[in-house]
Amino acid sequence: MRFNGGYLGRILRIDLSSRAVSEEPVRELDLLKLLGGRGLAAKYYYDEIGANVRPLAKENKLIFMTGPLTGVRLPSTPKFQLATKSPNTGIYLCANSSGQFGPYLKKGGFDGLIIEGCAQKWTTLKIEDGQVSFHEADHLLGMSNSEAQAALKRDAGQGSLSSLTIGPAGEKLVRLASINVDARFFGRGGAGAVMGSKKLKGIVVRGTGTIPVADPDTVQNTFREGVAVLKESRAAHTKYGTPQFVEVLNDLGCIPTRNFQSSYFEGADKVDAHAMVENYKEKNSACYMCTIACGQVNRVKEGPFAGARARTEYETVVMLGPNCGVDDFGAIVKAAELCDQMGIDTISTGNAVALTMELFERGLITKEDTDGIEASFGNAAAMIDLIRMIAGKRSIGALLAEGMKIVAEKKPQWRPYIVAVKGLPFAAYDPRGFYGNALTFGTSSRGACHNVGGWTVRHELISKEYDRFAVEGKGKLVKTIQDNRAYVDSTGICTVARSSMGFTDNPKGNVLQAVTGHDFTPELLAIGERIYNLERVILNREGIRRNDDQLPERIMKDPVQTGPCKGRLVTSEMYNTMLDEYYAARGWDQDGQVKQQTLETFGLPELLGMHDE
Amino acid sequence: MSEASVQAFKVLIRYMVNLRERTGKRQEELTFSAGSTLQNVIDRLNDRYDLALPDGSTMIIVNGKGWKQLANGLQQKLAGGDRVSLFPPLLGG
Repeated sequence: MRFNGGYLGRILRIDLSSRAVSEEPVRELDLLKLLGGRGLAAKYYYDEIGANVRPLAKENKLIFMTGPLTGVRLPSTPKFQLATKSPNTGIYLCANSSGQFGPYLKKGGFDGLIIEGCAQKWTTLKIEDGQVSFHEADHLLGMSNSEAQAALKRDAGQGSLSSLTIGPAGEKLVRLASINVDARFFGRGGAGAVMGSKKLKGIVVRGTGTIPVADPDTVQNTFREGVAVLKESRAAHTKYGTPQFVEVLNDLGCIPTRNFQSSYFEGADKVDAHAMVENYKEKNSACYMCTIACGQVNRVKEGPFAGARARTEYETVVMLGPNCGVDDFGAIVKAAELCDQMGIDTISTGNAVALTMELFERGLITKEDTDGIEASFGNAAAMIDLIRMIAGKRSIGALLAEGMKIVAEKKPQWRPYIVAVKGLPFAAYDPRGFYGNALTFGTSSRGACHNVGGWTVRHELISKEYDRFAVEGKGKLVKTIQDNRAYVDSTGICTVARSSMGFTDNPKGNVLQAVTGHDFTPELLAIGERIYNLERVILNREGIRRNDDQLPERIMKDPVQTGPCKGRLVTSEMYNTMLDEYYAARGWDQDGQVKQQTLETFGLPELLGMHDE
Repeated sequence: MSEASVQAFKVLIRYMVNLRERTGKRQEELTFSAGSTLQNVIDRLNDRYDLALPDGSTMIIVNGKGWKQLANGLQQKLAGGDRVSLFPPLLGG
């Protein structure tokens, strides 16, 4: 191998059906062209998960991949990636998580882990420095994520280990189910249900080895400098975490409110980061090698939700707060705790609850559908009950647990109120306040995700050429941010810290060379673009076209009701003008398919073996 | 009442996230004379709160737009009812 560090060069493959365990080398060409992490996971997905594989069938796989920086002694290097077919959307899903799992997987000798097949009985896996053992898991069934992880760690003993688990919702195949990794998450898209379908309750990994680096002195210096820079420049993230955006985005009129009927929440000051820090914050939590520690662990001290404890991000606060009309931060903490412990995605769950509340207020459902609950906006107790129903597949929760794609198919009369793209509900930004974000949600590789789709908010506020209410230019902007994110997701570094090491849309620095021995930096944006095209090749293979990139009616037809963006829309005409520009910038045809010439530009026919097919 | 005070106008300044700590205020209205620009507002805030705006660690938003997006940047003339919001750089996504 031409690399002198960063990679271990091996993938661990575990077949739950046969209990076969094997190791295989990573192709050097795949690393050169796709870097690792998200890019490498997409390549394995392309090779191994065909268009006809159903998400909950044993043929689906869980493909976990680290990047060259994952676990390396540099600031904020916890990230690893997952590719699988999504039970929520029925198509390709990429997801990233923090926690310690990726670092310890690498310290145990592997760049990646592929789980395939289906266990005959509920199982947990232990991977200790490459030694795999299978364990019966009946005694863990029904346990929350915290309980299950505590039990697994008790059993595994002390030391350098991490666990990932599913909660009861994953066991029940709820299509919003998450995978919990040391209290961080593969949140969106329902990967927890894939794990549940394989009867896999959890995995413990232990790694006691070291990750080689090509130039230890430079890595050490980069670490030292990076820590100093981040401590100073990310102070607001340390104190307030991502919930700081609640106040800011409400002021700009972009905060989803009452199922996206409005983009301004009158009670935002009760649920913003100041309210959190003053009344609820217990401590910070940090990921692997992170000095920012942006995680905000909150505890409710009094009132009906006293004792609830959860880490809350901006997305969680907004989707379970303003988007449900709830202005009680204690209720948000309780709702987040329930989601985290039962194992469901807070963003998708907040959307599902908000949809239910709007349907209830419009009289499209009644108390008969909600187990007698008065499911009105702002009713915090109703929100908590609805979350329990979704996680437990009870009453209307049984339908909502199928995810918005299936809900829209079964209840076409509800479509005007369903706020999703490709079946994945919107994250906590209203595109009627940032037009670029409309393309973000429309063209994200996994449905309406702000991360994979390219987070435009900052650019649309600071760049002269990208006014947030302009249509022109957004295609190019979104493409660039998506490519940027795709390579960053393939390194193993956290997005909050990435710019301190030169990982921007104008990549700089030598940290990848110091770690791997190969100078990736000049190629990084091209690698990101290659990954995004590879993902679109997969999506095209799964039938995704222009029609699937369209926005929901709520954004195109219903004007924002209140606040700074009152009256604004992203009409179909505006959106499709942006989409045309985006497809042109991408080298995709008018129906959203990757052109042959684009495939050739990025060497995808050779990389994917298309000539052999 | 003098002509100058008749022409004076008020700007709402919003201090968000850690800017609230640095100023001790959530928001305030400040009065400026006719023809005042964003630069005049910033000068006043720098004096009053020992800030160094525009710096790399503060977003300056005027009526929902970043200051670089204004036709005249820092020399943009402001008017009564304008709203200037200050907050730390948006990182994440």
